[in-house]
Amino acid sequence: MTETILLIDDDPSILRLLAHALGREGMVTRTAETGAEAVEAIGAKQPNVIVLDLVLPDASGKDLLSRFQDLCPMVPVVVLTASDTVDDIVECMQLGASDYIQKPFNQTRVVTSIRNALRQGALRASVESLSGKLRRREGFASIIGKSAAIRHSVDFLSRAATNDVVVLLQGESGTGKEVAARSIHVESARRDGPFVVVNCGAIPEGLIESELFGHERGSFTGATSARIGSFEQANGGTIFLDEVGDLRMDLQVRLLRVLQERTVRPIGCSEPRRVDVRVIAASNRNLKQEAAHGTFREDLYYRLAVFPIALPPLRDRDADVLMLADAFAMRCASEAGKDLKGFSPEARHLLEQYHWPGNVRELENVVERATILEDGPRISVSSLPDSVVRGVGLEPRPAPAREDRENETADPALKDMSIDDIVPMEEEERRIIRRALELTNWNAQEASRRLQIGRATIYRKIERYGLRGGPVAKQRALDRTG
Amino acid sequence: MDEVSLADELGDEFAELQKEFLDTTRARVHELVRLLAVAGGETPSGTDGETFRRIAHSVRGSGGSYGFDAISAVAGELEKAYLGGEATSRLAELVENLSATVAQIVETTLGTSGSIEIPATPETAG
Repeated sequence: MTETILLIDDDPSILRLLAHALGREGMVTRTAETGAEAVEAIGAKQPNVIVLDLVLPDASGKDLLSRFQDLCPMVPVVVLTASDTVDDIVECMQLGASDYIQKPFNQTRVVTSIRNALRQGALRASVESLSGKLRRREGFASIIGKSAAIRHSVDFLSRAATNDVVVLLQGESGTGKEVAARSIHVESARRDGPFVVVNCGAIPEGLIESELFGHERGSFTGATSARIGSFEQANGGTIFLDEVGDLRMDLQVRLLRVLQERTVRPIGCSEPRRVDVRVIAASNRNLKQEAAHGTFREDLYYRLAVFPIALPPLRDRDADVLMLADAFAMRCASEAGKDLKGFSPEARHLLEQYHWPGNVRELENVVERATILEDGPRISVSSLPDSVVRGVGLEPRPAPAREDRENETADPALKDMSIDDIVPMEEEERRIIRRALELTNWNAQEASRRLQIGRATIYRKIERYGLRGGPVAKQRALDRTG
Repeated sequence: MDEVSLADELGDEFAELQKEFLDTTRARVHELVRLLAVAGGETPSGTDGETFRRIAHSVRGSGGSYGFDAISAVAGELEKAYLGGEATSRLAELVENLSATVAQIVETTLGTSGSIEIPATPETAG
């Protein structure tokens, strides 16, 4: 590609000399003797580099330099001037000049400077292109779907992106909370800053405090070196606190303080450190209800729920299932080097009918698995898992004989059962919790103790599975009869 | 960078550019002389003053770029003297100096007489 250099100088002898020197280097030059000519030339076609004299008959070179930042921000500008004051040099560099060369100039120096500027411009263009690709891949455009439910959520996400507020994403597991958080970051003014993900539920209890806030060397046994916490790592960017409802109460207090004071204090450090971080929190629990039950701090809930956004479950996005499935199939096939042409009509029907309790994540996993298993040109029903086939009331394929043998077990209770008796884990869990509640006369505390799960967990499960029949329901029934 | 190394580096076409530059510079020195004459013993001011300064500034920037450091040096002194409000006689002296420098370079580089006729100003005549 031939690079075009726009030379702006009111001295024709300088323009001729530069055009000659750069032409020998294979560069194409255009010239302008006034500011007006320069602006017109840039409007007609953006050059790769601009060489600018600071003294022009109709404009100050510095004013033009500022104007170029709006007109063509990606084009590097080399200032070439007879002025030699330090103030001019500093001001030009502050205004975005890529280099400053004094007249009389050494031609080798000018050519080198322009070559460097060309590399800088190519790098800027490359970064911009990658950044654009990243935005298309991780921004709102990456959220597939035309259903009213998802478009409503995307509308809220875009409003969150343009306002630097704390965001609380709520939705069932697998609805794409991290994708949504990343899209807010990528589309926000903080996009050039870091995006740090902390899964509060996945980090061991003993490490979560240090993970979030960092620690000083020697602050506890095993702290052999200092560690920067996630909040400081995210400085200038966004921190995504997934499963924030799993945070311990004492850490909820510390998180509240960070949100209020915009400072963090690493373990073992006496001085708080200022951080500039946007917080996006997420939970698949109903935090408002947990706050009411006292299992989540109410003050923290209101700090986090400045801008709550609900992400819809896939069952509320009927129109999107096939669109998502096609997109996942295309991506998986491309990664696997397969030439797949989508799904068979029967498979499409099945995907539409299934209720997708695991939401988009489940759909993605199903499609990925089917892409690997499918040998034909289209993904057929036989490549979809039995859970999906049975989930829409169809008979699954007969299990292979070898699988039957592997299912043989010493447990006599299983002798009368077949593979068809296996039900989804959630269904099994619902049955176990309901049985425990009934056996304890709907005493949730006792049931959770017997099941060896947390009290907050059992309340969450009761809510999630819509379990009713406890004392409250009984009281209401009595009220009605009385 | 001296003249020889520049010519070596940029080739024969550069000699043509140098010739063009010297022609242009001679015309510019003529213009400086004219502006001094028009000012009638005073320092050029207003639009003429701005033109005077701009020519000195431009020749300072381009002379050395063409490999003629001596031209840049004298033009630089002239620009500085004008901006510093020095006496007209000093400006005339520097213009004469610039003219002589250009003439000498023309003679050396092009092998022709490069003398520029300097009209007498009241002070230089005196």
